[in-house]
Amino acid sequence: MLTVEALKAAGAEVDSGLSRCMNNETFYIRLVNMALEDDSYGALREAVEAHDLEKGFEYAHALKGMLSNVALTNILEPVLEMTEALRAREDRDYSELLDKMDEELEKLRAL
Amino acid sequence: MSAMVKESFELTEETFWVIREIGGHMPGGFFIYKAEEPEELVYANKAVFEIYGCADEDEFRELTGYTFRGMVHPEDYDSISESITHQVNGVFGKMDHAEYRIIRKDGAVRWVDDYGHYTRAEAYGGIYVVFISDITEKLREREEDTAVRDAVIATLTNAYNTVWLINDLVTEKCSLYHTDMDDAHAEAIRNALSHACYTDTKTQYVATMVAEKDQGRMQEQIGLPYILEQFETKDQFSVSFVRDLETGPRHYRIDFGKVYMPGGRIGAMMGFKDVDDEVRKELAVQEQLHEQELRQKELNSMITAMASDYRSVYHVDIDADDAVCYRADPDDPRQTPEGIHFPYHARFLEYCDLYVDDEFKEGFRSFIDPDNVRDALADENIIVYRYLARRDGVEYYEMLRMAGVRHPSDRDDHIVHAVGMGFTVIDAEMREALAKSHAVVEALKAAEDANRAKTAFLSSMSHEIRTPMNAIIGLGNIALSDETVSGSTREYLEKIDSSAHHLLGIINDILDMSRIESGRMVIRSEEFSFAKILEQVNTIIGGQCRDKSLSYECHTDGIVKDFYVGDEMKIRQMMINILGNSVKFTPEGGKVALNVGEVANYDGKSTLRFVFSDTGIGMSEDFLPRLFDPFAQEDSSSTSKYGSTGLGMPITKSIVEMMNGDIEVKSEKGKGTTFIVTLTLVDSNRKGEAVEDGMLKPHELCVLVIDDDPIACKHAQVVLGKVGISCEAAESGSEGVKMVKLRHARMAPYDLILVDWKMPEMDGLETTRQIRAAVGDETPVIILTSYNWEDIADEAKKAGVDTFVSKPLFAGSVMDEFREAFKRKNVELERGTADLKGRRILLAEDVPVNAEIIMMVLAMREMEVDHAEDGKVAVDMFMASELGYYDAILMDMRMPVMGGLEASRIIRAAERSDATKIPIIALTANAFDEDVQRSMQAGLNAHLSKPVEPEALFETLERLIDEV
Repeated sequence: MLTVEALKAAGAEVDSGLSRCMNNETFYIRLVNMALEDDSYGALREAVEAHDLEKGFEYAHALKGMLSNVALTNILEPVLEMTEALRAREDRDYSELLDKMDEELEKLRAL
Repeated sequence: MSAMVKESFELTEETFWVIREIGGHMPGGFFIYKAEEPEELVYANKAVFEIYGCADEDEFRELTGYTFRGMVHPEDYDSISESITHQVNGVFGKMDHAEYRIIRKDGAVRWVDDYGHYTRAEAYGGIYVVFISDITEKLREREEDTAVRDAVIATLTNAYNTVWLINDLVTEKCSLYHTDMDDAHAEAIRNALSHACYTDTKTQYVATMVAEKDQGRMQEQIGLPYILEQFETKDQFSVSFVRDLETGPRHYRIDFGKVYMPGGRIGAMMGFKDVDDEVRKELAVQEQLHEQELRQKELNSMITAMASDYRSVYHVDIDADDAVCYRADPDDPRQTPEGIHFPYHARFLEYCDLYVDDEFKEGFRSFIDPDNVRDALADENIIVYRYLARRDGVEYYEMLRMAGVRHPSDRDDHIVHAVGMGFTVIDAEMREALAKSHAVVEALKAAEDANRAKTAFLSSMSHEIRTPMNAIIGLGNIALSDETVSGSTREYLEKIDSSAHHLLGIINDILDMSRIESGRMVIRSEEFSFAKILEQVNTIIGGQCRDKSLSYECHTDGIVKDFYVGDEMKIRQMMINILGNSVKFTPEGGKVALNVGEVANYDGKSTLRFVFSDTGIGMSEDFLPRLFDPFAQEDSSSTSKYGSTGLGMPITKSIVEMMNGDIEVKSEKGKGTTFIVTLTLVDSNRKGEAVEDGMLKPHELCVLVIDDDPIACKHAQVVLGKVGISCEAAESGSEGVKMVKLRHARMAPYDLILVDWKMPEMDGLETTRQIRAAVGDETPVIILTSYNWEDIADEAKKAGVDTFVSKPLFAGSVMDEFREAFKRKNVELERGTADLKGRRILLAEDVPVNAEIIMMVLAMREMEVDHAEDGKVAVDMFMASELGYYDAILMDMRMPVMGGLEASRIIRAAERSDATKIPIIALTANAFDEDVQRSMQAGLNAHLSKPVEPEALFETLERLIDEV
């Protein structure tokens, strides 16, 4: 069961996320669940691995906005780095960042 | 015979016998005939018959009729006969010689010569005694000789312009054989040859024909002694000279040929020839040869010089793929020895395979490629390739250099056909250079790291420091607002407060500088109220000036719009930095002034010029160029005196330049400084507040001045009168309040009330309070004071005071002050906030989580939200809505199907009355300046970055909805 405490322990900046949700925990947890189930992660990986940097940037950017809102800092970190690199259309090896993103994602999904 | 030819010889029957005996044995022809017609023969010997092809006398008699006439060819007879007669009667006496033709018995025509003698004989009368011989063969030989001679002369005359013959070198007799008649030479030569002897001829020839410089030599070299001397050892020789002609100098040559003349005489044949073309060609050839020789020498010395620098040197004919080794490496026996030719490309490819390190092989191969060499040397004089070589297991650096070699035979096509190439071992240099460059790279990296670390440190420290500073300042303010603190404590707190502000200023400067240096300073492009900036700046700087007893004036020259699009904060910072400096460096009693106005408008933009001037200490001309360098201070002692980081001006300049503006400074030590800043800002569509300049008509204004000092009242009336404002005066607060009430009751209220602060009985604040209580807060109330009003600002505001104006009033600035007061009044009156409750918001956001949050936030203020999952849906929903149904649109920027920018553009372009009015607020994860710029262009009103803070969202919505 995903709880505010578990998220906090996992490193999410729960307070800031909560404040955006008017400190409504239920609402916040619902949003976090939505954010964790979003299919942009897979789509991002797919686009980047196909070297479609344009699309990759779209997905990374979308994830960045969403993750900032719910303050899932751990996943946000690799996503942020990818967003900036993809904004500059850097065709580099993103696999490490993608793996980090997925790893953090799995950690939170496991909660 | 001699007896026979004697005149007295008597030919008789007896002597005839003797003749017959002798004649019969003579080998030559001999005959006698009678002079008298028909010239009958008296005798002819056997040899005569043979000449005529006859066997005996009978045949001869038959052929000739035995007459002289019959012996001569009929065609020759008349002339011969006449010649003979003529000769025997002539100076030589009785002798004749003739050559004529005869016709032999066999019909052949032969030439004979005839030596005759005429005599008289008793028995026969006049007779001719004749010796005859066949000369046909001799004649032919002679003809041949003539032909040969003619041919030789013809050849000579063709070969030479002129031919002379010195017939005898002893007697100097000479003759002209031939000369070119059309040559100017001819006349002179004829003149020369008119002399009797060769020496005179030659002297005149040289004097008239030979160029001056050659005359001396020629007099000698064509003189007889020289010719004789030459002929002792050779049969031919030549002498050359130059003739000066009108058309220029020409080279001539005289060929001398030794001629063996009859009688053992020696003659000379002289052929004059114009050899100018040949000589010039030859000279040119010689010159070329000389040049080539020099070049060859140079090349040789170059090779020698190069060889000392190179391990081995080659010459390569690229076109022919042929190389030859000039200098071989003495330590490498495997190399081709010097002077041996070998195929260039194949050999050095092999060299590459054998000795060049793998990493450099590719580079080496393409470097030595003939096409590459040609191309590279077309632009460069020398090309170089450095590489790692490996030989006998030892690694070392080697360098291959090639330079184009131009040969005289090369076509003038600027293409290199041949190169010199040399190999050098550069191991030591290369290793040293590599070590150095490695060290440089390391150092650079270290420096970059250090710089990055410094920037990061400054940035984070500044933020870290700012946080507690805000607390210090905030708490200081709170403490100061506590009225119970004692006087001395208040003084300490004030000092803490001002020190904290100063410190914060320094930290902000450092932070700004680090952001500028790291390129992280961005310029925003947002609509802002320029009037507000002016007001804020005037408040701050005006306050500082009053504190320091400086006069401060702010004027607007011409038009200044109320709203522009630009970076409000940076512009304000620029103004405060410059004016702050002016205040800082202007001594008490001085003047600080700001003039601002539009100087140009174009293309939806306006150029504003700010002129900041002061009567401060100024700067020397020497310092001006360094003014904008960080940490530059003209006089280091001023740091302590005036207190500064030295960053203000560099930051200001950077800010101005980042806004594509321009900053100039003029200053004179002891007189003051003027800064001129020019900025171009985008015009805003937004119109100014209700109070337009036009509304402030001085003659329509009625002002009340309340001051306990009658002189001050009088002064105010005079000053205001100057600008056309009618003015009433009250000499106490209570009187003033009464007058205001009266006017109000008459429905003709004062337009403006000026109240002195310090008054007995009732001070300015109390008076204001009573006025506000009596007539409301419509009329602006301005406090007049010569004191620092900061301390009472809050209280004054609460009392209903709109602004402060320092005493005494100045005609020049009073209208501006009033205008400011009206503006401020209006801004405050207008600035309301819309009630958000029940407002309908259209939210375009594709990410569900984000949409949920925004909807939740909006719900807090009881707004109704319609959610569109992309720009297209949002456009459709807006188009389908009733006019004015939505109060605002929140638009995510990046969405699938249709992005926010495009959606906004479509909505703005829609043909609905609310299409251009509805506020559209951008939401985006990145508030990059270019994004903001783009969204403004697409017609968006505001730009909020995610994560969106509820308060910011509400405030924006309140403001924008209210404006509609």
